Amino acid sequence: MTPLHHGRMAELLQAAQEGDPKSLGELVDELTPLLWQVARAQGLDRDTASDIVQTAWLKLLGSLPEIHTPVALTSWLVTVTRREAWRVRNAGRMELPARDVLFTELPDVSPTPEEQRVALERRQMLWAAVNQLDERCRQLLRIIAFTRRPDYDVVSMALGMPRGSIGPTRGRCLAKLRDALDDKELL
Amino acid sequence: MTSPDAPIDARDTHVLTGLRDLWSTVDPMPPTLLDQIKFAVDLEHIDVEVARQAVLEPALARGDDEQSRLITFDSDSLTIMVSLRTNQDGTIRLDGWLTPAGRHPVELRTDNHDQSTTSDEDGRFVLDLVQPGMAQLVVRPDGTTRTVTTPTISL
Repeated sequence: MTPLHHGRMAELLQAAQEGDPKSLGELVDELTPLLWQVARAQGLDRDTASDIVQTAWLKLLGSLPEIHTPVALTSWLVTVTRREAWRVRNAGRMELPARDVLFTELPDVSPTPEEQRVALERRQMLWAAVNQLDERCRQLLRIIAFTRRPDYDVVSMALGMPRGSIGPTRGRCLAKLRDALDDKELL
Repeated sequence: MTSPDAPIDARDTHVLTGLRDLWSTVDPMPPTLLDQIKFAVDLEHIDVEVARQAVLEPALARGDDEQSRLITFDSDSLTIMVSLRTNQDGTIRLDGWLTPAGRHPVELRTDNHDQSTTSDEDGRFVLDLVQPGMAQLVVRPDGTTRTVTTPTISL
């Protein structure tokens, strides 16, 4: 994440506030992958997660004039996505967070080229390392992985972690993951 | 052992990129999601209230026959129930019912062309010969400045 990128986001935000749909569309492209992970990490099924993420963007329309920085924009969207997810979850529409099950959905790789096989093996090893982490670390790293660096703290806060613990928790989780990967001589 | 206090370095960034790739692969966004969001937010009105799909019993959602879908959207001020039925020519007939009842302007935005109507005193409305594709129902309850909108749905 470079200042340049931050500057570009600020430009898009201002243009979107002035009613330029294309700029708003670029912000949708930029931030929706993060919001999708936030919704899915809350254990929502795919249809509900889609609904929730759309809802967050629609709600943003009314609040857009009061949001002045890209960091505030990210924080606002993550907070609303999480709040909406909680509301739906409490209404009883959820599935269990998927873990190992997810990999059973991957297609059979045997007939694919060597490069794809290697990429898949690396993913599976990374997955195994991620699964050695506790739930809190898995959740945090899943979200951080989709977040630009200036947003780390606000995103962590939006996920309900005390401000003082964000840096240390992130550091602890990343360190654990690296050690697990070192054991496998990966990456 | 890796120190947890170390600042994020190139290898951390590499690991995080790997994680992003991992989660994007095992749990990708639906391919239509970005287009649906862009379609939904391209609204003239920004003072919107979002009516979200409510939970329905599967048996109820299925309707009388396999050709019809029943969807309920809830917001703070309005409930929109719609029944969707496919016509023989492949177009869609949408029967809607607004609660609280009343005569309200109703608009169906689609990626082809928009259709509008007004609900009757009982809150009922019909939109027929709708082309399949992305669609969003927008209701402007009379006497308010707020616009109630559904998310984009696929017809």
